[in-house]
Amino acid sequence: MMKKILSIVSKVCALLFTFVYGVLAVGTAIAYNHIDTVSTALGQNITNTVYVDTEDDGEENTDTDYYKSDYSSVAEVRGAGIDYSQRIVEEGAVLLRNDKNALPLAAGTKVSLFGIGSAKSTVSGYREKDKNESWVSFKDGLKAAGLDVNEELYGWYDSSSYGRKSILGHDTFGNIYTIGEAPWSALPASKTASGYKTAIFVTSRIAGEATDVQIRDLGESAKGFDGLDGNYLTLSANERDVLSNLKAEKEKGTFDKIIVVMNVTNQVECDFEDEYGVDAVLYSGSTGTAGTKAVGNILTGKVNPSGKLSDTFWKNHYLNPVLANWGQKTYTGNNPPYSGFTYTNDGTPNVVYQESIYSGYRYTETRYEDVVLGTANAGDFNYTDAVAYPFGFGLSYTNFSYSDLTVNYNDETDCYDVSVTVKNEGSVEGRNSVQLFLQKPYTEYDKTNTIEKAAVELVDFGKTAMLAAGASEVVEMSVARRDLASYDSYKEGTYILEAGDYYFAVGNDSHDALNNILAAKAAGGIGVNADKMVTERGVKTSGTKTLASKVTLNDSLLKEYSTSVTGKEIVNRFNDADLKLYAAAGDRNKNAFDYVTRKDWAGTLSFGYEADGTYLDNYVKIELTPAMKADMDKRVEKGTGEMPTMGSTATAWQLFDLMNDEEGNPLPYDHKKWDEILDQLTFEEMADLLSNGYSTTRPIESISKPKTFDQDSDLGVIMSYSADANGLASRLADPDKEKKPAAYPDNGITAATRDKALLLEYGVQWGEDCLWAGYTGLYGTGANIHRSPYLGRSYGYYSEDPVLMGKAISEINKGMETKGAFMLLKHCMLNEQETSRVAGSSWANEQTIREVYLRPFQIAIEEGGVQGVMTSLNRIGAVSAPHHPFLNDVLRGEFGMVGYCVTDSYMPHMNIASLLVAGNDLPLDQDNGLSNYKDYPNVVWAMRAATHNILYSVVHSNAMNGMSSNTRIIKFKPEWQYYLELFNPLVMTLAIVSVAFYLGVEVWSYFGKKKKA
Amino acid sequence: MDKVKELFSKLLDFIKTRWLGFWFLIAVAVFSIIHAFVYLGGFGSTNYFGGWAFALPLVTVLGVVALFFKPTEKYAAVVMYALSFASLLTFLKAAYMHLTTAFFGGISGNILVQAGFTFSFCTIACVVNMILCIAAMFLKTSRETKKEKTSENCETDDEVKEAAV
Repeated sequence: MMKKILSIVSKVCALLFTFVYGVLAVGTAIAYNHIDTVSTALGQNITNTVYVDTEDDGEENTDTDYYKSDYSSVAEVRGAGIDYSQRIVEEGAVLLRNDKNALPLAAGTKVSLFGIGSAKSTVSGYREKDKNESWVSFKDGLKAAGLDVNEELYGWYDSSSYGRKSILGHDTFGNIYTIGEAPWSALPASKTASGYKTAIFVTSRIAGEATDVQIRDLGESAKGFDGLDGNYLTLSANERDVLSNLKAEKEKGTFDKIIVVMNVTNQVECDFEDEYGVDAVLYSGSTGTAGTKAVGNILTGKVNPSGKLSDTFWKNHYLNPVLANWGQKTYTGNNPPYSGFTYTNDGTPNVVYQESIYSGYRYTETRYEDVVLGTANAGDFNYTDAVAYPFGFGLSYTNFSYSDLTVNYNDETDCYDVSVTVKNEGSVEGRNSVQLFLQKPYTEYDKTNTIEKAAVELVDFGKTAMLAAGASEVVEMSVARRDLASYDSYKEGTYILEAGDYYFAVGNDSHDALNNILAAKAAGGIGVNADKMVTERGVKTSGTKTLASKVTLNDSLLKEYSTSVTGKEIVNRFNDADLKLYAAAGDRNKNAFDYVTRKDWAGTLSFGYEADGTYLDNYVKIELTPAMKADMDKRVEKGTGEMPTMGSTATAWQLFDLMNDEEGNPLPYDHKKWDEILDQLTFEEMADLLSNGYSTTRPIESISKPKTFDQDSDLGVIMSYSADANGLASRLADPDKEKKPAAYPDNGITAATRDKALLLEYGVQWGEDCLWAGYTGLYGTGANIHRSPYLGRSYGYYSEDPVLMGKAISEINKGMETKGAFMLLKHCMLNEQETSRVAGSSWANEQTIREVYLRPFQIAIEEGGVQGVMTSLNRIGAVSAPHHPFLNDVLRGEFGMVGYCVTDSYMPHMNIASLLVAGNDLPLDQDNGLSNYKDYPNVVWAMRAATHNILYSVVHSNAMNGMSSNTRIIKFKPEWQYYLELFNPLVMTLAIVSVAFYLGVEVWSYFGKKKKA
Repeated sequence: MDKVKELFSKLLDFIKTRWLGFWFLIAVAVFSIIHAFVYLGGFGSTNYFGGWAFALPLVTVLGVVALFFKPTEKYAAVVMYALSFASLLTFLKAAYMHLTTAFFGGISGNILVQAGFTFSFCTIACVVNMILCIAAMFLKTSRETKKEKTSENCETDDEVKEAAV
C-alpha cells in the first residue's frame, strides 16, 4: 500500500515539476528574445541615466530639459487637449445645408434629439470606448450652448438596447458594426413632446483598422447587418423611417425644423435632404472628447461655421468609379466575391488603381468640365446625380465675396504669390477659408503620351481672421512653380512643365472655382457650353471670370523641374508598380488593360456597380506571372566591397556630443562627427539596435543613446500619461498620470478647418501629450488618400486631396517637433484600403503615385520636415513596401528625408536584411537574424546607414532631455529577468529531484518484488 | 503455414491481453506521426519550421517499442509523455511567432480557426498526447491471466494469496 502511494506521489511530483520546468524554460527563452517588449508590458526599465564626473566638464549644463512643456500638470495639458478637441470641431465642422436660414437656433430653443447616434455617438477612431468622465455627450454639448434638450427622449435613447453592435462578436480589429437605429414606432411618446419644435437627427458611423466598410450584402458571412442593401454608408431603413415620420410631423406642425447632424467618420450618401424635408445639415465628423460643445455653439450661432469639406460628398456612392477596383481581388484562378472585411496574408490579393489620378473631385470636376466643353467621349455624366457637395464646400451664417485676385511670379522664390481680397458681405462676423485651385492645360502631347490632367487641383489655402460685418482682409497664398509640373511616366520619365495656359482660381469650393475658370475660358474665346454649367445644386451658373487668373508659360521650362529639391535627377522609380511598364513584355501583354483617361471617358471608365447598387464585377483581373512571383520572393543577395569601420577607438563620442555644433545649432546629418561615432559602434551594437523596433528604439550603452518609446496612433497619444517612466507625468508623479489625453476628432474634420495656425498649435498639443506620456516618436499621423469613402481607416487620414493632407500634416509636425516629438508618417505607400492590406499588391502608374498617393508624404517631408515614415503592409507591385528601393531613392534622395523608417508590423513577406538595404531601418517587431548577414558588406553598410538615421532623429528629440556631457546610459537587467534567473534553477532542481524520486521509488519497488520472489 | 497460424494465434493472444494503457499509447503514436507530417506540410517551407519540432514526435513513436517488452512496458507511458511534452515545447518555441501574424487583426470569436489549421492541430495533438500518456501511466498496459499471476508480479500480499490459490 505504502509503495503504491509512494509510486503515485512520485509520478505526480515528477509530472508536475517537469511540466512547470519545461514551460518555464521555453517561456524564458522566448522572453529573452523579446526583452524590450516584456519589460515595456511590465512597466520595467532596462536602462538608467547616471551622472558621472568627466574630465571635460566645461560649463556645467544645469538645464538639460531641451524640450519643455508649457504646462505644469497633467490636468493642465489634458485640459488644453480637451479644449482643442472642441476648437477643431468649431473650426472644422461643415455646414452643408441651411435652407431658409433654419440655423442658427435662438438660445433657449427646445430641441428633440433623434437618432441612436445622439446618445451613442462616434467619438474618435481608437478611443470609442473612452467615454470617460470628461466626454461630453450631444445632450450636454447642446445644453452648454443654451439649448433646451428633450431629456426624456434622450434618456430613452441612452438607455435603450438599440445602437451599434459588432456582427463578428468581438470588440477589436476587423469589426463590422450594425447601425442599430431605433424605428419610429419604438420611440416613446416624448418624441412629439409639446414645445419641442426643432428636431435634430444625429446619424453616426464608425469604421476601424483591418476592415473596410461594407458596400453590399455579403449574405451569411454578415448575417444581422442592417444597412440598406448591405450598404453601411447610406441611411438605413430605420433611419429613413424616423426621418419620414419627422417630415410627416413637420407637415402637421409638430416640428418647425429638421436638422441633421452627420456624426460620421465615413461619408453617408447625401441623398436624403429633399426627400425628408431636411432644413439644415451639419457635418461634425467624430467629435472627440468635447466636440459636441462645438456642435452646440455652431447650432446656436455662437460660432459661425467656417469648415470646408476635405472630401467629395457623394449623392450616390455607386457612381464612384474607384469602386470598380476596390476590395479583395485575387489573381486569376480564384476570384472570390468581395468580402469587404477580411484580409489575407497569403500573398495573392491585389488591387489595380485603374482610375489613375481620377479619384474624388479629380474625377467629378474633370468629367464635368469635359461635358461642359463638349469634349468627345465625355460620355453621359450628370454632375448632380453623382455629387451632393463638392470638395471644399462649406456654408457660413454670413456671405463672403472675393475680389482683386492677383497672381505674380516671384523670381527669387520661384513661386507664384497669390492674393485675394475677402469681404464679409453679411451681417454677422465670421471667418472664411480661402482655397486656391489650379488648372493645368490638357494638351495634345498629354493625350498622345498618356499624361492625365485634372480640371482643378487644390494648391494652397488660407483662412481669414474673424471678420466683422463689412470688414475685409487680403489673404495671401503661395504656389511653387514646380507644383505646376506634371509627371510624364511614358515618354520623358520625369516632371515636365508644358507650355500653355494655366489658371489659378478661387471659389467657394472646387466646383465653384472650376466654374470661374470656365467663365474665364469662355471670355477668352474657348468654346464653353454655358447651358451645361451648373452649381452643386444644379442651378445654372455662368461663373465669375475675375476669380480666375491665367498664366501662360512657354516651352522653355519643359524640363525645368526634372531635378528634385535636393538636386537629384528625377526618373521613373515605379515601373515595377505599373503593369504597363513592368518587367518582361510577356507580363505586359498578359495583363493588358486601360487606365482611365479623360481623352476617352466613355471607353475607359469602369464602374463597380450600377446606379441601383447591382454589382458589376468590372475590376481589372490580372494573372500572377512567374516574374511577379520572383519579385515577391526576392531577397537580398550578398554584395561585394569593403566592410565599414566598426568598433573604432579613435574617437569616444557620446550621442549627446552630436546634438549641436559649437554655436549651438543642430549638427547637420552629414557632419563628419557622424562618421566618427558610427565607426565606434560594433556590429553587435548595431544589430541589437536594428533587431527590435516594436514601439521602441533600443539603448546603446557605449554612446549613451537612450531608449525611446513610440506611440502607434493616427490621432496623437491614445494611451495614458503614465505610459513611460521617462514621461513628465511619471517623473513628476502627477496624481492624474493614469488618465488619457483628450480624444481628438477624426482627421477629416481637422483638415476641414483649413487653418494653418490652428494646425500648428494642434501639433504643439500633440507634442505636449508626447512629452507628458514619455513618447518620442509617433507612428502616425496617417497620410493615405481617402481613395474611397469605404476606407476603414478614414478617421486616421485627412482627405482625398494630397495637397490639403500634406500641408495639414506639415503644420502638425512642425508643432510636434517644438516639443521634441517626431512623426513616422504612415502608411507609405499605396495602402488605401484595409482589405487585403497584408501582402496584397497595389498596382498604379508613376504619375498617379507621384501626383496623388506619394504627394502627401512629399509635402510633409519637404515643407513640414517630417523625418520618417512607417512603410505599409502591402506590396508595391510585387515588391514588399519595406523592400522597395524608393525609400532611399525617392524619400531620401529626392525629398530629403533624414530620419528613419519602421515597418508596419513584421510579416512573413518581410526580411530584415532586404528591408535594411532598401532603406527601411527598423522592423516593427523582433528579428534576431542579422547575425546571418555579418559577412554581407551591403547589409552591414545598410545597418550603418539605418543606425545613422535612427541616431539622428533621437539626438534631436525629447529623448535627450536629461542628457548632458556628464550623463551616461547604463543598461541593466529588468526585474523580471532576475526573477527568471532565480526560479529557473530552483524549478529545475525540483524537477530533477522529483524525477530522481520517481526513479528511486520504481527501483525500490522492482528490487522489492524480486526479493519477495 | 502452421508457423504462420501459430504466429497469428500468438498475436491474437497478445492483442487480447492488452489493456487501456496500451491502446492509449498506440493512439499517442498515431497522433504523433500525424502531428509530425501536418507540421511539415503546414510550416515546412516557413520560418516556423524547426528540425527538433519535427523529429521529436517521430521519436515519440519509437517509444511504442517499449510496450512490447515486459520489463519496459510500464515505463513506455513515462517516456512517451516526456517526448510528447518536449514535442509541444519545441513546436511552440519554433512556431509561436506565427501567432503574431494570425492574430494581427485582433482576436476574433474563434481562436482556433484564426490560429490556422496547422498550429491548432499540432498544439491540440501534443496536449491530447500528454493527457493520454498521463492516463496510461496510471493504467495497466496488459491484462494478466491467472496463470501468469505469480508471487513475482504480485504487488500486494492479497495478490500473492490469490495467486497461490
